[in-house]
Amino acid sequence: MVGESNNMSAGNRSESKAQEYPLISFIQRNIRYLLILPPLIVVILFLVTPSLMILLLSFNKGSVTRFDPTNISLDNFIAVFSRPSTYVILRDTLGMSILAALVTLLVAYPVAYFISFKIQNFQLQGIITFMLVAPYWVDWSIRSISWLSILGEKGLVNYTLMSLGLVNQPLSELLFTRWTLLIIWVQTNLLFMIFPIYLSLTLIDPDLVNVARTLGASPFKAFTKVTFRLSLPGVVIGIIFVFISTLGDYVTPALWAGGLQMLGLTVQNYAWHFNWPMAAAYSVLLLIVTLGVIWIVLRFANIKQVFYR
Amino acid sequence: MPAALAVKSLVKRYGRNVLALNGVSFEVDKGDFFVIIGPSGCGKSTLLRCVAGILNYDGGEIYIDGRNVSNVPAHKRNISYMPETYALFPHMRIYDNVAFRLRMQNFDESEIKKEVKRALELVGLAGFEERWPSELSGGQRQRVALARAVVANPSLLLLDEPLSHVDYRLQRKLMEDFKNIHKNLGNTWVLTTHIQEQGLSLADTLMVMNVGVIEQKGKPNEIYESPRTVFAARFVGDINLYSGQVVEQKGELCTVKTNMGEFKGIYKGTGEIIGKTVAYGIRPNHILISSVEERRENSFRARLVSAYYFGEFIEYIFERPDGVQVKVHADPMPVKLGEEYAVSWDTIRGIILDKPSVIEGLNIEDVIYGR
Amino acid sequence: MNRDWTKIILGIYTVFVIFIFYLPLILIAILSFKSDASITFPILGFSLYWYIGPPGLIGTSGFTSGIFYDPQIAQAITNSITLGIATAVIVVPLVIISSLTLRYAFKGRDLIFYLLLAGFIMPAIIIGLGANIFYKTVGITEYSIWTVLPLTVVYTMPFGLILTMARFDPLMVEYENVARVLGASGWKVFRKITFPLIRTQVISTFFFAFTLSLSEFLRSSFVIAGVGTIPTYVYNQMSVTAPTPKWFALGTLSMAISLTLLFVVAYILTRGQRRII
Ligand SMILES: Nc1ncnc2c1ncn2[C@@H]1O[C@H](COP(=O)(O)OP(=O)(O)OP(=O)(O)O)[C@@H](O)[C@H]1O
Ligand SMILES: [Mg+2]
Repeated sequence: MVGESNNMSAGNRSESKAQEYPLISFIQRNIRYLLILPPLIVVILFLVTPSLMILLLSFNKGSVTRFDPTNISLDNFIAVFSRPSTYVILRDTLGMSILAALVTLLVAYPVAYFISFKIQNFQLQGIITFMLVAPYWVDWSIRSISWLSILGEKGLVNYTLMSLGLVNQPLSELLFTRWTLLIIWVQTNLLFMIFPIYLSLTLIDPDLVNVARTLGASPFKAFTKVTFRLSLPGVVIGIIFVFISTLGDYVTPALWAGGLQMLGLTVQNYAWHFNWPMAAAYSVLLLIVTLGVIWIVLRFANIKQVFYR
Repeated sequence: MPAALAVKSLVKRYGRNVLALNGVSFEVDKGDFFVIIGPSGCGKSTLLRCVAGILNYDGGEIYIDGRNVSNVPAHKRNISYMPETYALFPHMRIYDNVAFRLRMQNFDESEIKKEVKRALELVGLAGFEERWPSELSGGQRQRVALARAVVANPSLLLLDEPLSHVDYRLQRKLMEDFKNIHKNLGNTWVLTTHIQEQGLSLADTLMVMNVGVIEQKGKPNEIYESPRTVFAARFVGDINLYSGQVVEQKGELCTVKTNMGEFKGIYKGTGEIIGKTVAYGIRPNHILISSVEERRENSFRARLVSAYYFGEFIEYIFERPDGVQVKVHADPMPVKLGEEYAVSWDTIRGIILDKPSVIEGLNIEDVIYGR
Repeated sequence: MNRDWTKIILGIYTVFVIFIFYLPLILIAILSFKSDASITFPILGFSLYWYIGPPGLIGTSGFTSGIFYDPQIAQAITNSITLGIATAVIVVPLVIISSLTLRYAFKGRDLIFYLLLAGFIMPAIIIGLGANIFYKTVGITEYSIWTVLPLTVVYTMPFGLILTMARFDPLMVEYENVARVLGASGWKVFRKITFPLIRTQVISTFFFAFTLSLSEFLRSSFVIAGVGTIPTYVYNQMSVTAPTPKWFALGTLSMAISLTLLFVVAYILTRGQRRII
């Protein structure tokens, strides 16, 4: 069926039938493009529509859970933007997200580089990659409480320090600080940074680096001028992923950030207290921030060229 | 004066099983236009990459301008390398591609501009500065890669199959262009090729490689006229080859008994070869065609079965009743397909070779008939 | 010749990162064999209680049992695996048809491309909250894994799309044309040429979709009820009772299964020495 439109005889046949069944002939001629409809419909139904509903709801007031067209106002947004706390939240959220993205990038890049350039054996490449994937099958909450066993008052670190006699009292500041949050975020997102960078590194022709070297570039220069530049699409995708998953995260900060307010957390708090319109208004703010960040990051690389080649 | 490039006993293995270079040694003179020819997979690219410093090797030494570069990283060897794929940087415009080496050497921008312009003019692509590599044709890309390689006049240029992506008729013209650019710059060029491209005769020096080894090195006409092995004879210029036994040896002059009769020729090697199976070769352009029996030592009669036009000459294929064919290159002449003619050649044109290759243990008949 | 020092240093670094990555998991595995109910040090004794212990009262954690005696955990595991497989089974064909269609230039291609990637860009809480509002509006109030399914599909599809499209063979369209000229019908072209060329991407997409939906919490927690999936179940349990090594036993079990399965898959996929992702 897929290529029917390319087949000469089928094309002629459908033309003769065109007067009788214009719709069928239209479908036959455009089947190649119409195939995009099922995924598109899924996305429109379960992503675009819900988002639009949030947008609409943010213009309502009170504790409604469904859009009410008779009760439209800008009060939520006025409230959101006139509160000084909003700006503190924005600063903290953006600050932590940017930090998480940068730290993850720094940790991930050498790993991705090693796997793609220094390991010639594809089997080994695959096994290392899968070793990075396997922990994701362990539930996130379980992985996350394991930090209690590591950094907690009676955790591994304190236990070791105390049995070595290095400290008398357990160090209580190890947990529930923004640094715990950062560690957990980096750990959870590492794979999603390594993966796109690895992907874009493997698309680079190694001869480009070789030529740069013979043209007088030191290994470091060849890396910055050629390899890193060409891996930017992967870097950008990784950064976007970390940004998005951290900007909208409402569980990790609640558990580990020791009271630090975050944008995702604020949305969840309002939803929890059934003030859905306010939750919606903060969601819109979250979305604007997210899109703004993506827009800025996309200035650094043309991602599309990786996909339409 | 030290050689521009000296390679001594170079050994390179890939994994355990592939021995890509088996102790290769040769020298390239300063200012030479040096062409390496050999069949696909014989190790030409491997050799160039070792010289360029982008591939580790397992044994031997490399000297550039008399300096042992075994521990000199690629960017300090003052060379250029152009891979088979050209490898233009896709994220840089043509200008920035060509300027790359100058940027690495911290030239100032006005200098860079001048040099880039000069290099692009040299390859006939002035005005292409602002284009992206993806906006060029294959041949243009190749010339940009050349411009990038020659800029700032490195002492040694390594070009891997620079002609394999252009069409057959352009090969000779490009080779001539290369030769002119080379003359202007005066540095040393090493090129590789795996097919008998037109214009091989433009090489100052030719080196024939077989799997991991060097068959013969010399001036193109030297190898053409006096190949040392059957392999070298087959690879430089066209040749008709027949196997036979040596029945008489008087100094260089030998007689070989083949299926088609006895032929006389010249054996340039030393030693006794009477009774040995050898290759008897005759170049297609050394054969004469006539309608009457020629009074020469070497001749036989055969039917003309086909003729192909090559521009500068015509290739005539003759076939004997027993199926043996002979190829003749000659000017157009009044002959008819299907008619019988006499083909003949002078004894000094007959090439007698007893070594199939420098690789030991090959069967000479296998090499003669390309098995 | 010189040693490749970059390779050695990066190799050590990579091993170190993988070690840090696995450190919590190693700890989880060790602590899951503890005999008491705390998840902290010191370890006073080992037992298999948290795996195969019968139901009973344990210290301060009240009535509990080993994971093999907990019907709710069994339910959560079943739900998670069902959700993961359902997601992957739906996402794979969607990714195949959309990635193949997006190769051709047509009006609105960019818009559609970005829309299909939107599940990747949209913050989790917006997808979750939005879906909740959406279901309320259209009158769906019975939440289960089937109300979560569309969200995991929308969320995992972009990953498959990125993975598949970035690895397209640049000559794929040429191969297809050649096959067509040689007389293959549209379906045959897909089966004999296109699909083999993207086979490894398809398998990776399947595993990615499965893995991502297995660990999905931020979106699903808005539209699920009852025992739910492993992440929502564990999260809800942990917010009412203090954590016990029981969860670590569950974690260790998942780890064992995932490592075994992924190694088998990695082995099968790379047998022909080709890149798997
Ligand atoms: N990375 C590699 N791993 C294993 N074997 C290799 C590798 N690169 C080349 N080889 C093998 O080494 C031998 C020489 O290869 P090389 O590329 O040098 O040949 P070449 O003479 O340049 O051939 P061509 O004319 O086709 O370019 C070949 O047998 C090839 O299969
Ligand atoms: Mg080669």
